[in-house]
Amino acid sequence: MFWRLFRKEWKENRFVITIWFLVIVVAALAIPLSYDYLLRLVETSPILPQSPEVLAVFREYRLYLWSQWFGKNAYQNATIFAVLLGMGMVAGEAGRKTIDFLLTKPVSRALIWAAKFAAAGLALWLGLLVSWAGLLLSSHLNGRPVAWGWYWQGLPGLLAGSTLLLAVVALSSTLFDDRIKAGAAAVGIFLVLSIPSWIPNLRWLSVFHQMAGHEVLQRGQVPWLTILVLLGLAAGLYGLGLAIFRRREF
Amino acid sequence: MSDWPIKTEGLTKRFGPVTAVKNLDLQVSRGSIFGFLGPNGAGKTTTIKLLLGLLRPTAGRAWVLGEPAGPEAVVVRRRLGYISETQNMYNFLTVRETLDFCRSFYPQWDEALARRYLELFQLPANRLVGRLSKGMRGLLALVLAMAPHPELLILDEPTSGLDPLHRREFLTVVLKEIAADGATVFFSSHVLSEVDRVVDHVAILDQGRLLVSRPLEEMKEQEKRLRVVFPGPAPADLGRWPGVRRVVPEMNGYLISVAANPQQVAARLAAAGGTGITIMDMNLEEIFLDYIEAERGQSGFPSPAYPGGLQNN
Repeated sequence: MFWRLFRKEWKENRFVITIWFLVIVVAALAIPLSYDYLLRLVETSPILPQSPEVLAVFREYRLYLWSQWFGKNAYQNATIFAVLLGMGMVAGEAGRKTIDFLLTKPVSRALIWAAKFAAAGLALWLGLLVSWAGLLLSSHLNGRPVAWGWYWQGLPGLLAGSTLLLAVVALSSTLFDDRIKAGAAAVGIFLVLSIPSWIPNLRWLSVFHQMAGHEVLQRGQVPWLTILVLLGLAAGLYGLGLAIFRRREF
Repeated sequence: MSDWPIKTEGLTKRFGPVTAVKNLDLQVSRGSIFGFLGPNGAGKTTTIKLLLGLLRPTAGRAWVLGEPAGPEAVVVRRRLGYISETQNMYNFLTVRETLDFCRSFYPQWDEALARRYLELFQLPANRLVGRLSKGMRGLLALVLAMAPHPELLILDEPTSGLDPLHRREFLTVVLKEIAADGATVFFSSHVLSEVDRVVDHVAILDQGRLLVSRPLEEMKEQEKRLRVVFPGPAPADLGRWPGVRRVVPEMNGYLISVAANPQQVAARLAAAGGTGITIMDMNLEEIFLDYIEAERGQSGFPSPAYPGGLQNN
């Protein structure tokens, strides 16, 4: 029963999932391939600001890879696609009026909720994991192998943060009958969540800061406690969304 | 409680200041085909959504197949089929995939029956649901509702938008398969001609209030319209006579709607000086309109003596 619901969700979101995989994998493959070009650009362009920090990042290949992948493409795309994958979870069904068809089947709302969240979450995680592997493979084939044993350390924060963002969007989706409104509300919450990123002393409080792997770079180790907190928050929002979904009238 | 596949007690649903269903007491007996009638906005769909657990009652209770209605009544939903008015299904699934999707929820799913009706209705298994006509969609909804052999089938305006051919196919199947199985059918509609052909019990709802609920045969036997002329003044308490439901002044007399014992009422009218008494049969549509107009205080024949008609509700 769960897998039927799960497959239905994947089929329903097949276009978003396909675009997500294409975007994130192409980005991952392109980052190593564009290194030489970007380095030359940063070093020689009269337009770009040549701060010592930027030059240092670009001159050390593994930092370049980290900054372009974890620090930019991965978390930004994960944020966008968390919204696209999650906003229709309940609001989409309510808006299309298919929710009656689904909820009058002999299946609990808890199972429906679990299948919906698992389908979107797995799509998000798989995209990140496959593209991460593609990044390392592309780097290797480009003659610049990277020690994956170091490079995986950015993944837990990225995956945990993505899960938290998806939980925010899913919760928002239970409150509206229109997927666009649900998505817009989630983006509004993300803007609030991003505020600490702009304040140096509070940056560690930002989920986006954690997803970008800055803590790993600064401390040289995975911030497991922070990741547990992110997952705990995600679980709390998942439970809150489920409670609302169970109580909601359609 | 399980003798009644559907039972409600004081069921009430309010949406802000609007009361969609008011203190509804309903009992649907096992094996009946129950017509749940009312004009648009009468509260039929709200009642059905309350029974299915899609809405929560503001007050009162409802039982479906002996269990309290609610969103978590999963086991009960295995035993019932539901066809909504809109018949919204997943447009991105094919007919075959839709059947597979639904089958996974029902241990008792009858695949042979589903295939048989796919063929009978000529539903293309590989076509996307989104590309089916409204009629085909309605028939697919019927197949999906029937395949688990439901004990109770709830149909919310199931034939709205269907052409006469599809409507006939639909009703034929409902009659033959479901009723022959001994299942109960709860059938909401405002297409009275089809209800008249199919149902054996009728309830009429208006503005959330149940106006009447009785077997169709009894309704047709007992619900009559009497025409009478009084040379002098009519009895002042005419509207409160036993059996009299509504009195509407006519040009030179009165039209009296009777809910029971029309012969006795006719005899009493004669004894009170009434002349030219005629007892007229009413079809379901006339009964329906009569109840609705009475509920809304519409006489159709305004009179200074009986403005809005005399009513005995």
